[in-house]
Amino acid sequence: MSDEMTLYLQVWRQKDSKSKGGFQNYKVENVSGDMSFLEMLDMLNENLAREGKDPIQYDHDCREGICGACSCMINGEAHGPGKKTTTCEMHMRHFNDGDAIIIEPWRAKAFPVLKDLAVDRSAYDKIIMAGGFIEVKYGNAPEANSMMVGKEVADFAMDNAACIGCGACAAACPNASAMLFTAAKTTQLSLLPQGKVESKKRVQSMIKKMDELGFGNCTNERLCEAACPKGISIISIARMNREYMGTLLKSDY
Amino acid sequence: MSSVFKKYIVAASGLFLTLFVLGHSAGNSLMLFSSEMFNRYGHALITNPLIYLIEFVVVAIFLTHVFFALKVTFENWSARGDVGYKKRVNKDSNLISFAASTMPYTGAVIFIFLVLHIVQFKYGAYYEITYAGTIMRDLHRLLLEYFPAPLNAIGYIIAMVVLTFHVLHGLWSITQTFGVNRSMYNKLFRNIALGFALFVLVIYVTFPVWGYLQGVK
Repeated sequence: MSDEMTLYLQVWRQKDSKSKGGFQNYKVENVSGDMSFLEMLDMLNENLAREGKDPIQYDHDCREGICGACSCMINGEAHGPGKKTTTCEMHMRHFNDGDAIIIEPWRAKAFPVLKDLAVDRSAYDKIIMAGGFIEVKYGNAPEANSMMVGKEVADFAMDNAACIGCGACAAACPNASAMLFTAAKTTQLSLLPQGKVESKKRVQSMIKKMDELGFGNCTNERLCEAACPKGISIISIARMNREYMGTLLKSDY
Repeated sequence: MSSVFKKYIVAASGLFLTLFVLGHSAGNSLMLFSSEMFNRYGHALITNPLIYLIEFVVVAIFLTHVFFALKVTFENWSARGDVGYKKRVNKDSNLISFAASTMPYTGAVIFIFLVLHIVQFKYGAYYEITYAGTIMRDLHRLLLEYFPAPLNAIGYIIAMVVLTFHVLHGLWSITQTFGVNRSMYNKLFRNIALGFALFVLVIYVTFPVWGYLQGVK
């Protein structure tokens, strides 16, 4: 909890997607507890640049926990030890002076490493492209109360819409399964009147795409839920399992 | 076949096998009351012509469970990619998550146990006994020869502890896979699974302990 910390990092370094990577040790001094994890990496990168070395590549964008770009396995935990936080929201005050920190990229066959800590997460975009949208144009927001949606239903849809697609669920899953992501992205649409229409097609094609991309099978181990920075529950997976079973029994018309 | 459909198969066959574990425990419990009751129950089972059909169905469902569980496990191992994590921790570690992460291993132990179990009992030493003029197999005598050997009793107890963990995750997992789970029932289902697993543990550990004590007397 001290203000000025010295940390010993073990960072995964990999030149490109084709080369074989390995861990490298770095010592970072004068780390303030008020820094975010990414600011600490920035500081290390500035030092590396000054020494003429290749800085550590990592993904980041908004740095306020809403874009889903940052992704690091920190000491074996997706997005680090904080609950419901992304890597950029993780403050260094969670660590102590002299701590050793292992930093790894997401590991999944469907998320190949591009360089260092940056991985290619376009597999999630491909799942969305398989049906995570509404095809019909609904125009402007409808007149209030013209389309009745229960409060609990709207809330649950909103909880699922909070998914930022960071990939922590698949990264934390022992099977590298993308079920929590796919469940969130089907649930947010299937529950609401506009999305219900295409729900059968959506859930079938998104699950099919998820399997094709090489993600593992869900075995209900709940690590995704614990790792999700947006607190999306495995209840969404149960809901998608139920919906998928329904689509196997229901006819189209 | 989609990943979710494979889950349905593993879960449905698992539910059936759970019911088998329950039914088997009821039949076995007869050994605690009297050797005649136990032997007569066994005789009634094997002399019923339907037994071949039932045996076939149970074995088929068991092998389906094993086949799809293995398929899913191997797919999951390869889904991580060529390089695994150097360090990975579970943020929400508990008894049920331990049971979940060890499913393939507990399953393998149960498989080995079942093979031995069938060889040692169904195809084990054959004794005969006569009740009211009917000659039948005296399986009860075999029990009383088997369990007093400490290694047999301990091995049986270890296998049952392993089964408890397998059933613990399996039963809760069924509610999730079939989409029965809702946030308001989540805790309830976990407690039911915990209670059922505990029941399986207590009843199945009773048999070897009882058998061992019979031998000591």
